[in-house]
Amino acid sequence: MLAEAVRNHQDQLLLEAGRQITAKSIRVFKSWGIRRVAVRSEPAVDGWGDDPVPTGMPPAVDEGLKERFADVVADPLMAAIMQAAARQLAARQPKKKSGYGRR
Amino acid sequence: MAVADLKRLIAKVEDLPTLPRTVLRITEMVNDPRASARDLARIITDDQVLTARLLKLVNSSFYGFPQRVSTVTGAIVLIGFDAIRNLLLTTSVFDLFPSRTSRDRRHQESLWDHSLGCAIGAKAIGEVLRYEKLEELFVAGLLHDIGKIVAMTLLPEAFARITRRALQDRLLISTAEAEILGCTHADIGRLLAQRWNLPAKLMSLIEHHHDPAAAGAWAVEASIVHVADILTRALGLGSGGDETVPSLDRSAWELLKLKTGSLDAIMATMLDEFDDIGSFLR
Repeated sequence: MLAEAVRNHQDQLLLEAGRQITAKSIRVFKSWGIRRVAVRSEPAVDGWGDDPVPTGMPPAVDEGLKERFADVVADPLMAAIMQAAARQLAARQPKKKSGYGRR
Repeated sequence: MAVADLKRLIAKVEDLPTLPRTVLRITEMVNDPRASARDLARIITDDQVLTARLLKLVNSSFYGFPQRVSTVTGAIVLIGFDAIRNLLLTTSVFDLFPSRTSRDRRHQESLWDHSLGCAIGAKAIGEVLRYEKLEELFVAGLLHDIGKIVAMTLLPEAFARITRRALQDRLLISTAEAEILGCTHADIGRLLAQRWNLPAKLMSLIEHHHDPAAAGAWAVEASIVHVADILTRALGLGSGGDETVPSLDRSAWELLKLKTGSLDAIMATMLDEFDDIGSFLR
């Protein structure tokens, strides 16, 4: 989620601090030329889950991962695993023909 | 599963193929302190398929040796007797369970892919933890779900019901197995490991990959396989028969003292090695 409010160059509020970053908000940020935002995770346990929300993730990967992790994502450790998987799969996405998974 | 059914399953496990004679002889030789690398090489080179697979594996990214290894004796000297036994065991197991139908074949390939992902993941975690016997972790990861392959082969209708139930109701496959069979793939895997006279440690890792603390003296290794299983599911490498990622056993994570910062590197290795290593096992 956002650690600080995001505003455009005209000082218009785009997203309040504390709000979840979604694919839509990322598109809005990009459209205003905003490249970086300050993020924070849900309260972490023993340092778990303190990774930033992966950005630029293809929707297919995003949805597939969410579906797989739906029952456990409230656990900060599992959320950290999901985020790491999202980053690694997204990093390889352009090279692969298929979307989510490697059946 | 009723007691009578379980007995029937155990009886069927008795009918399962045994390991290839060459692998059995190699296993005996590895335990013989008088055996030399040349003795072992002689047995391996009698089997052209094993020879080719061994050399392909030794020259793959699994080991990443800077120079090409062209002789079996050279491979044995480089990676050691135990590693040879484990790797030949690995390459042989894939041949033992022929599929009856194309649908079975697809399911089985998907399960093997999951097992391969777990094997690579276990090895990658072992590297991060500086665990000495990496190939041991690899074999444990590869065989951790062997009970599912057995169930699929011996009880195809029941296994189809299990996967259907798991997918429809978002259950873990072991939950559906317990409901329908009265035992889980971990129990069945132990039966097979007994049948094959696999080392007690490997048998324990197969049996306890979902509850690593129960592996006692081998809890670290069981925890590594457990975490690798979760990461494999997270990356969608193959399918274990269900579509949900279960919670990671907290005590396993704490025992290994892994950091979330290591996850990216481990998963990157898993994705990189999956196709490379899979090419000679499939």
